[in-house]
Amino acid sequence: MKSIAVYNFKGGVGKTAASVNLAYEGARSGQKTLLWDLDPQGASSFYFRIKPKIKGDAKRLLKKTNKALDQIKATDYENLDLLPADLSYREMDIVLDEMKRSKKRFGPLFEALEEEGYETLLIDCPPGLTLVSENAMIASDLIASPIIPTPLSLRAYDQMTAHAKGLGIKKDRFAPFFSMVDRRKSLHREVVTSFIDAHKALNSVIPYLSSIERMGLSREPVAVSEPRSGAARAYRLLFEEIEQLL
Amino acid sequence: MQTVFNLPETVSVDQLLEALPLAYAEPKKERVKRCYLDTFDGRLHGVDWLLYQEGDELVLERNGERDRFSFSGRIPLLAADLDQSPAARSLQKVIENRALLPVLETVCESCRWPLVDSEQKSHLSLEYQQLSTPQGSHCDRIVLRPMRGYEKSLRRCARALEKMGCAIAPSPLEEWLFAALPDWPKPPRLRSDQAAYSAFCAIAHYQLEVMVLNEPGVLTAEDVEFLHDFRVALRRTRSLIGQLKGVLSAEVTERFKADFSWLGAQTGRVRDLDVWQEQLHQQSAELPADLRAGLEPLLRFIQNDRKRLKRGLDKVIEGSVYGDLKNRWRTLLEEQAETTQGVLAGEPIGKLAARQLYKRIGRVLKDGSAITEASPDEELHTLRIDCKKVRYLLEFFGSLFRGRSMKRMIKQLKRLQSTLGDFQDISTQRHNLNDTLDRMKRQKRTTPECLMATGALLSHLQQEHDRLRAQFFKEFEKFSDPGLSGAVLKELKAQKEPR
Ligand SMILES: Nc1ncnc2c1ncn2[C@@H]1O[C@H](COP(=O)(O)OP(=O)(O)O)[C@@H](O)[C@H]1O
Ligand SMILES: [Mg+2]
Repeated sequence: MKSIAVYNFKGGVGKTAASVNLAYEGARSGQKTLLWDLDPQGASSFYFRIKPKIKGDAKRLLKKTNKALDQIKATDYENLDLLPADLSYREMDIVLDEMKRSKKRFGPLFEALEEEGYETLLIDCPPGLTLVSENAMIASDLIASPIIPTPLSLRAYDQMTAHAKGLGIKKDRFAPFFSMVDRRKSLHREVVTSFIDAHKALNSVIPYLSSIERMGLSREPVAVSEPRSGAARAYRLLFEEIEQLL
Repeated sequence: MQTVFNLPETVSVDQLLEALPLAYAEPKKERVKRCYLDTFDGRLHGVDWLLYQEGDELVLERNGERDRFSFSGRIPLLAADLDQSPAARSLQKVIENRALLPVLETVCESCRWPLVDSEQKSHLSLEYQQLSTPQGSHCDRIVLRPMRGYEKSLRRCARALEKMGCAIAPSPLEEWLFAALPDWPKPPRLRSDQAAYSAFCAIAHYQLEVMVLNEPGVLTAEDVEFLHDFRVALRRTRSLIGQLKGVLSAEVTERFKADFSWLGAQTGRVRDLDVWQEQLHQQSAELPADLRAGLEPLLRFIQNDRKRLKRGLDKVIEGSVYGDLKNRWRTLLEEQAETTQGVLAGEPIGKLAARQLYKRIGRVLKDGSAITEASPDEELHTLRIDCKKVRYLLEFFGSLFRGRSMKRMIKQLKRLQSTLGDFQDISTQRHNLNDTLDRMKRQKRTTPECLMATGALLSHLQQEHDRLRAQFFKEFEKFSDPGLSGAVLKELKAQKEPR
């Protein structure tokens, strides 16, 4: 099983949009795919019309992997299942903190998912620098990180990779890509070209597009609601590029 | 796993949809054609597997699980046409040499509604299927297709369907397939006190039906087993005539003996080559790779021989001599005219069979014990024929003798016979190889590589020859164990000379 954490500690940068659409692309390419909605706000679950669990138990979920397997739900798309968000995820940080080896608790769950036959796992991470996101980063093969092309965001990205280095995560496990890019802004254009060259960012870029915003209404991956849109194409290319790295 | 329900005549699909606890969304319509395959002798049916071709895929269904492999586009399908996936391998083991032939075509027209909640998220789907065959079979059914994590909704929908009068229904396919498989004749049931003549006719008639059933396949040669089965039935017929002398009149016996012997000779060579080709195939796989290519000219030569002989065989099967033979034989077996009956016609078959078995088993024991390390191969070949006679008698009349020692003896006999059969094969192969090489040499078709490769084959055959000879003594000792054969002979003696 290949695992991809979609993570940036900043909120509102397009993590969920990327998770939903990348998971859809994985399933469409024929891989049995699971999207884990790790953000208690449940935005990924919302896009798939699946209700988040209210009365979850983060501790049992981490300790008893079959509890997690029981919560998996099929989406309306072939090969694509979802492990919905759980309000108890809000306490996951505290739960993790009380556990031993608190940064490496996702291993058993990943193994159980692999045994279930999943070939690709995508994790829609919550924002913030927390134990939850550290666990996701440590356990995953790749960290796909959406970045808005402004100098401040780039600085934040550097801070994040420096922090990750302290956790033993090498920089080559990060796959940064630009998100919400506005081609009309010269600032965006300049930042994108110089950064891609300097930091080995992915060549695929997700532009700022109203079709992606409209996902909130359609509650479908863009490749379903607007299959011929530039957004659908951008996520497909992004998935193909990420797949090359795995 | 999907759940299948019948659709009661009084209920419409619309009514069912309205009765469900979930709303339904826009349906998807589909029309799928399938072609179900099985071997001529229904092996997949026998193990409860389903195999069908759908588009460019083959699908194997076993115990509710589905495996797919790519379809080469060729029907009939032989084991060699399948890929090497685990599922394909287990399929190969079941069909062995038999070709997979189309048995039944079905068309499934379906309409599938996602069943959704208030957020328009589907929890499962309901499918209305109209299944039919070109032969006019028809079946309507309702299928619930579950989705992971929505087991509760599935149960609620199933309950709603049951309330509307739907019941979980078995698939009609098994039945349709069974009806579409060829109708195999059933072996006759004999009674011990039945007159020998009527028992003879029943057995021979069954063999004749097996031959006729296999004729089309002998001609089309979709696999080599048609000819094999045809010849087994023929050999049984000949053995029956030869071993139950006196049941038919002497004149009739002589005539049909000669006729069937002719048919045996006409069909034997092609079968020999089939067997040989198969053996060469296996043996060449065991040869070192650099020698393997050397066999090519030999294999081609045999292939040509077979083509030529097969044309002759087809002429015989379609010809009037064989046609006339069949008619005369069938008439005799069905009319059972008094003039065709021999002196033993009225004898109870149980007694006659016991007498013959007693004699034949005695002969195997006597001939077999006379064989020593120094005996020539011919003596083993003769013993094989003795054994085969016993084997056929047991196949015809085994049901009349129930003793436990008889069952054990049959088991031992099979093992002994298989060793002797393999031993005989070695001699046949050596003879075939030398004969074919002579002809190839005369036609200047051999190559140095070919001679090297066949040299390696001959030395392999010599090793096998020695191994099987040694094995024979072990098998024969078990078969002739006085405890076993004594008990069997005692049972037979009691039956052939009833007090
Ligand atoms: N490429 C984009 N173009 C336009 N709007 C976007 C794009 N990506 C995300 N959005 C919108 O921005 C908001 C935040 O995106 P989201 O994916 O939820 O970010 P995050 O998960 O990082 O918090 C959402 O309303 C989403 O519809
Ligand atoms: Mg989010």
